[in-house]
Amino acid sequence: MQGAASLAVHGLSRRYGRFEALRDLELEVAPGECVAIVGHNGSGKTTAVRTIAGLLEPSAGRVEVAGAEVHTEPSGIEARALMAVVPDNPSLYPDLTVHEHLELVALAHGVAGDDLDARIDALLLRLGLGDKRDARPGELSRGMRQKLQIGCALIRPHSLLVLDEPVVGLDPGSQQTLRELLVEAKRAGVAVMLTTHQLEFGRGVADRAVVLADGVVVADGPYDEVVDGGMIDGLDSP
Amino acid sequence: MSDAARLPVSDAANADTRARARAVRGFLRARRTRFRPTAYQVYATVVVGGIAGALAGNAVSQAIGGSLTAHKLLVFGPVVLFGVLLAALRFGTWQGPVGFSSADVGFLLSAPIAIAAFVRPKLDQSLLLGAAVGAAVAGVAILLLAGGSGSIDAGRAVGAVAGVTAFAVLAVAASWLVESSRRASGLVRRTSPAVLVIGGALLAISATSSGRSVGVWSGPWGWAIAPLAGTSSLPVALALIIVAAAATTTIAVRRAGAGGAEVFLARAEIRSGLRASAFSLDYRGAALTYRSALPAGIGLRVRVPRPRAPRFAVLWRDAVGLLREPSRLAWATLFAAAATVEALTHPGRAIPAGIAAAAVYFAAGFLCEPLRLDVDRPDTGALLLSWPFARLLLAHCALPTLALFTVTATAVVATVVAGAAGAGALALIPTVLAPTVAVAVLCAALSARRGGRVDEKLLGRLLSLDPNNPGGAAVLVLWLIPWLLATTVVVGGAVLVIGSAVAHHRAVVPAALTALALAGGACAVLIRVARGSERPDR
Repeated sequence: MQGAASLAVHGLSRRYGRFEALRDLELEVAPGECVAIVGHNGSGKTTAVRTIAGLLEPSAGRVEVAGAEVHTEPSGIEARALMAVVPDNPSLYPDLTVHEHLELVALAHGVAGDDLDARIDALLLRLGLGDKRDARPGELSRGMRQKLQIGCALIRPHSLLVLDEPVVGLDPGSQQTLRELLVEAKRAGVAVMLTTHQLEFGRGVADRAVVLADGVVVADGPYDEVVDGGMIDGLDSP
Repeated sequence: MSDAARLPVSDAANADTRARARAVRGFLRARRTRFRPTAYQVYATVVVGGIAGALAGNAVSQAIGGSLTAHKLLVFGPVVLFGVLLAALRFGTWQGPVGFSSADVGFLLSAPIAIAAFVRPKLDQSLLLGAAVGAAVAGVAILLLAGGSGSIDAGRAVGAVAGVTAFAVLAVAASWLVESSRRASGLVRRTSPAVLVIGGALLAISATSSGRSVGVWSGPWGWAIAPLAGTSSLPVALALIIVAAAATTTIAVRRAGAGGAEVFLARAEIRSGLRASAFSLDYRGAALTYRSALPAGIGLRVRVPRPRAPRFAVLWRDAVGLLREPSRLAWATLFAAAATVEALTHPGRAIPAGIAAAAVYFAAGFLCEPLRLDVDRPDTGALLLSWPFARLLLAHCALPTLALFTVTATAVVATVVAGAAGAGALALIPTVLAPTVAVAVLCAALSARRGGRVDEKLLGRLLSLDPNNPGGAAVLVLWLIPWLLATTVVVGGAVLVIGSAVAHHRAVVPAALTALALAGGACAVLIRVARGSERPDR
């Protein structure tokens, strides 16, 4: 694992029938680095994230997390152990409470320890869900469900964090909390890849911006330079 | 956060994943809200199930012409099982026996646990369920057989249960093999119409043959029936079906890790889409969700010359649509041809006549898809072609009527040539055929006009009624299928009138004139209704 990029994407393509949503994507994210993928609707951001996360099979190319290939077994198991994903559309169990969702993730990822409950509670408090510990998803707003998904990603071990539109539905205070959590993750050596429409969110968090248009990378460089350089006209701030 | 990130990930990766999968399943099972039906729900289910079962039993009994006998099992059994196997394979293209919720995909299948550890228990459950259903069906068939043609010995009964059970297990395993492979899904979808035609041909051959044996060449559907029918090839057939089921199940189990997260996520999204459509009684929405689930079929890239006269614009658009999605024509051909053969080979019988009429309606429904697309997006349709909606609706009926007339006329000729109907049936082509086909197409078009969503005012009124009031449900059913009922009454009636004259050796000309008057009159009424149609506001 030493020396390898946390995330390495080689020649990744994805077709839906005749439509090529993603073409020949090359991307590396180093430990402690944050890369933001930006682009207009339909540019291929979500396809890229879903394919990298293993939720979609690539038409061509491969994805490696710390050298473990995502789309083949058994290396996929190792890759899933290292990669935490926050999807754009939270899917939660209607029967489980907020606390139980985090318990489930901990159980599935082999996270144990006498202090697990305390760690879960501390994380919920940090995310502003302290008073929703025993609430079920039906009682949560869109933003709260999003925060719960973020909590599920953070409670488990990971060296790569992949977030698809993580700020959608979050109020400014929660966005700030997420920004702080991501900065802490980077300091801890976690590689972060996120997609966003909200360019301001990336400032101070993302080191690089990769601009996608029609499934192709059209710009890749330091975040502020790319964003301020007018390469992504039309995308907005919050 | 940083603590979690620093945890030694190798520990997690090296843990006993099977044990963890078991623990996760136990965790979820312990917290799942269990469905506990009330006494009234159990009572209502039993009553409704009993009535539906009796009606279905009566329909089956009429369709096979009396009680179940070994000969009838040999005629209908293999074809029914062939259809069951094909349905199981088709089911695998969009759902299949292993299903996960979206939350399962996000929480379980993204965990560092082999996917097979989660797939295997669900596959095992489905195989067991399939075996139980197979054994139950065999048991019912044995009871019917014993009641119809005397006793059935214990050895044959055990063989019959084993044969049908093995077949059911094979169907479930094959369905999973399709579900877990995108290539297999595409293959099944593309070849289904052709396979159904072969099944129909097999039915025709077995219905006309006097043989009472199922050969080893007959395939799993024949092998499974052999013990039940008590043929001489029983031991060989039983051994073959058991070996086939065991082999398919072994391959299926070995492929337990083959279905990736994408397969299950897509199916979960389809299921939730269908559930949402069902709750809002939006059967068009359900149909679109189902269609979106299927792998892309064959689309012909042939260019159709653009017509010079604007009045042919819709005809041209419908022809292009049919070429882009020829599977619609294949299914329509299959339904219409089967309906024609059914009507001609069972003259004077009400249920076959009704089934034939319904099949022609569904065939017309396949061909009316461009009209449905116009109704789905009325604004787009209005922008592209500023015709009054009534004119648009009638224009969309032209190609389906022409296509169905061609198919049914060809089927009449083929049935006569095959000797399954008398030469007099050819007289139907220039007389009754066109108006009856037109009735089915007009009814399908008028149904498509509504967009498939229950009128909100009607729904509100129904929901405000006592939910236990069966009258509300009856109104709802009548709202959902009025055009199918209209087709069944008019087309089925016309078929029955002529068929009764043929079957009872009465004068056919007056019957044909009556049928012509019925279909022609209905056509006139339906065209009048269509002319009064307005563009739906959705």
